[in-house]
Amino acid sequence: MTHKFILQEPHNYPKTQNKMKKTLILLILMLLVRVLPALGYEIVVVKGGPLPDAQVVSAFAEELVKILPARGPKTIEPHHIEEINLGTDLSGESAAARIAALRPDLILALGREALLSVRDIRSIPVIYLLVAAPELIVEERTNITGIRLDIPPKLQFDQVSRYLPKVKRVGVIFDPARSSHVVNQAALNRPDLEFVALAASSAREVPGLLEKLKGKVDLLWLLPDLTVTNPQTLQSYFLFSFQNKTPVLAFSEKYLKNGAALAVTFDLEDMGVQAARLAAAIFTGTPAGRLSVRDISAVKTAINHDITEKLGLDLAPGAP
Amino acid sequence: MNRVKFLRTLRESFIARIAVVIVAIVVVLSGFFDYFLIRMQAKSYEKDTLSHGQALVRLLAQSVSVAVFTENEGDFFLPVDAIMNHADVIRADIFNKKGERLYMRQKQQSDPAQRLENPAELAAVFKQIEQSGELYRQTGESFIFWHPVIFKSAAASETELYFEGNGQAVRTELTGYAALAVSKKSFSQGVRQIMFNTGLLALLYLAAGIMAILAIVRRMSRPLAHVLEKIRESSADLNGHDDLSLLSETHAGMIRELENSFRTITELKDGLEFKVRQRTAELSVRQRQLEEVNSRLLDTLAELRKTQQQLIQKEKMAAMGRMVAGVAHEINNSVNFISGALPSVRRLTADLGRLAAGFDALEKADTSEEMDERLAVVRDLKEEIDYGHLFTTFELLLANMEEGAQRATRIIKDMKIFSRQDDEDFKEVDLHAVIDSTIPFMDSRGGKVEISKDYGEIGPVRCIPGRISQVFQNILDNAAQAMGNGGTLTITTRQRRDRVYLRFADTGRGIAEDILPRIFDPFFTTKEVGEGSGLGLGISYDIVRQHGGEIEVESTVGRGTSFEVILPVSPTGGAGEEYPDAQQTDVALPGWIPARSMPE
Repeated sequence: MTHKFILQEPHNYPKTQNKMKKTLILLILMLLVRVLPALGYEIVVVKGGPLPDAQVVSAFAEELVKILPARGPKTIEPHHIEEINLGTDLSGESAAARIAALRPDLILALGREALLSVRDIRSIPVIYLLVAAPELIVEERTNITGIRLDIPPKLQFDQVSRYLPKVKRVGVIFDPARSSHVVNQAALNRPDLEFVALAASSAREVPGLLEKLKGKVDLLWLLPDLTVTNPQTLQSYFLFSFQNKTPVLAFSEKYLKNGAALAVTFDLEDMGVQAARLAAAIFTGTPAGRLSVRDISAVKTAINHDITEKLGLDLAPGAP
Repeated sequence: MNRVKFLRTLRESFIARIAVVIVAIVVVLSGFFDYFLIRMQAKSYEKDTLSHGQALVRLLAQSVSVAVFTENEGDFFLPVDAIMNHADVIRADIFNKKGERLYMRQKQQSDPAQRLENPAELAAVFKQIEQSGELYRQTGESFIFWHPVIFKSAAASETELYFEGNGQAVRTELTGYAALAVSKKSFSQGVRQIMFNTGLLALLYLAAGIMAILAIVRRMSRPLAHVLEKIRESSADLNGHDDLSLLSETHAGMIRELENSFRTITELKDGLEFKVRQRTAELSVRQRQLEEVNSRLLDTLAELRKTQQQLIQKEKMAAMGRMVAGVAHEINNSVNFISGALPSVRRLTADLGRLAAGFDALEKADTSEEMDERLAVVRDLKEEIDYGHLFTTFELLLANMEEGAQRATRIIKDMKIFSRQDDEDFKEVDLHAVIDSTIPFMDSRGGKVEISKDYGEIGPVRCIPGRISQVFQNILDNAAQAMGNGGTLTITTRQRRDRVYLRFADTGRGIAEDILPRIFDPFFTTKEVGEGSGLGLGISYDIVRQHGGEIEVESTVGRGTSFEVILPVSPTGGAGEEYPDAQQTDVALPGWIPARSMPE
């Protein structure tokens, strides 16, 4: 399915009137001033999988118009954003061919599948969003940049301290091959907290390691680490949470309904804004390869009050 | 004995056979449906039991999936305990993917143990579960349900750690096997209960159904039974036959009778047509003859009417003659008063003349001696003529003369009234006046008749006065003639509602019982030839009927006769209109009419 977004000027004149007016102004400008370079942009948004992308795209489009208002002869009509849904509209290969034919100014890849489908288009800058572990896909390509999905530990524990100030000991099970840097970063950024980190090399070890955390931690930190955090181990985490009255801190809202007490996760609108800024930088001449991958700058905290109540937690005032 | 009687009834009675056949069909169908109902219910119950057991083992498999994954024995306790709390669950076994038993709990030693601990059978079961997913086995006392322990989850990837998957990529991994042994005790009890309930219901249904069928068959076959009963009553020779042969015989007999009847009808029809033609011809001849007779009868009727009118006229003349005789007798009596007094008046007048002459001579005497002498003569004359009683006698004579004159005057007055009653129009009259005006003309040639009047309150009656007067006169004449040596005629009048009752009772010789019914017959009379026409009472009856009334007569020989005339106060129309039979009764007068009592 293909959607065409038309970004319009703030004033909504009737279309014919708008065209006539702009045509008249254009003719006058052509006679009186030097014509500026064309600055209207064609952007293709490639979506892969069931992601909460609408909020991201909307924030991206709004921020882009703010940063780069459409102007110049080419932009008599506003920026065009064309959406391509993988799986429903096109397969990955067909999407790449179609995008190449459209020759857009920018590709916005939402999700892992989208990034995979456009990573071989090297002539068009690509900004990815909502992609976990993107470095495994991007490799050495220089036309790709984006926003990390990882939530910086500092941001997470700032929120924890804000709403659960009594939490001082944090238990975490991690696969050293995948998440040691995250654990180190947390310990480094929040020296006031005691991190009880237990390394696991397989999911089967998780229930046993959780037994070792009994009575030693105030909070169990869930990492986006496939070795220790997967459907096989989740029940163990939440069972531990209930049995030991220890809240689970998750990195996505999806775990709240499974039994996590709170989730500190990325803000989709902020991601859209960040992506718009990257796009603006690219449109103003900075090569994508020179733009470093950015971290999210804002987080969103969600609390499952049923769980906190069952666990007997005291939430600080102002908790969402 | 009863069995023999039942079999004989069954052999003879068609209705009984029908009832037995229907009952038998219902019993067979009921048994058939009962059997299938029990089977269906037992199957359904078994299906539910199996479904329940499978649900339990599925639940067990899901709840121990983590424990099987970790193979931590302590994690099995709670989920298995939850399942074992179910009353019918007697054993639970958990195996890992390699078929090694990870956990087992049982409530009692039972037959499932042999099968759950047989390595060869377990290997076969595991293989079958990998192919078909789940299965169950039965032993003598229990069901054994098997279910694979599967770890089912969305395909794990880094992205899916953050976002909800779309559910399309689901990864399943067989991690072990769960077995649950469920006792058959409850199941068997349930099946027995189903059989008992269904059987009881079927028996109740059968009992009610058979009673209903018997009632319906009896009710519906009542007309047939009635017909059969009538046939048996009418055909004694067919007794002993069964119903069908009875009906068959009767039907054949009816067909034969019908054929005979049709044959007879055909023959009769042929003969009847001839007879109709013959009778039609005869009727035509008879009709012509009747027309001729009718014509002659009409002529005769006209003659009779003419003769009747003449006779009536004659009777009128006779009645008039009797009336004239009576009038003459009365006038003669009245005149006799005057004429009988006249010689005495003449003699007294002469005596008074002689006395007046003596006084005249006395007045002319010149001397005293002559005066004394003449006075003595006058005194002698007064003594001679009984001067003291002369005026009394004279007064008596004048009174007699006056009585005679008054009687004559009254007779003339009554004659005037009587003469005015010839009017033939209906008018309202006082019947007392009519009676009173008729009495003077009663035939009084016999002895003295004393009239006793007992008049009640009666209103004016609408009638033809002359006709009614003629009736009264006939009755009065007959009464007077019946009381030849004198007697009492009592006239009583009463009114009750719209009818007036007039009774004339004499003390005459009465009428013999044998002739009483004939007195109203025309020309019937007991009088000497020439004295009566025999039409008086007949005409009177005709007149009274013309007025819508009746005459009743009651008589006792030697004591008298009583005629009662009953008239309506107001006939609704004129003569000949409201009583159309009146004209015809001229020749067809009725006979004796029984008397009724006079109203009080």
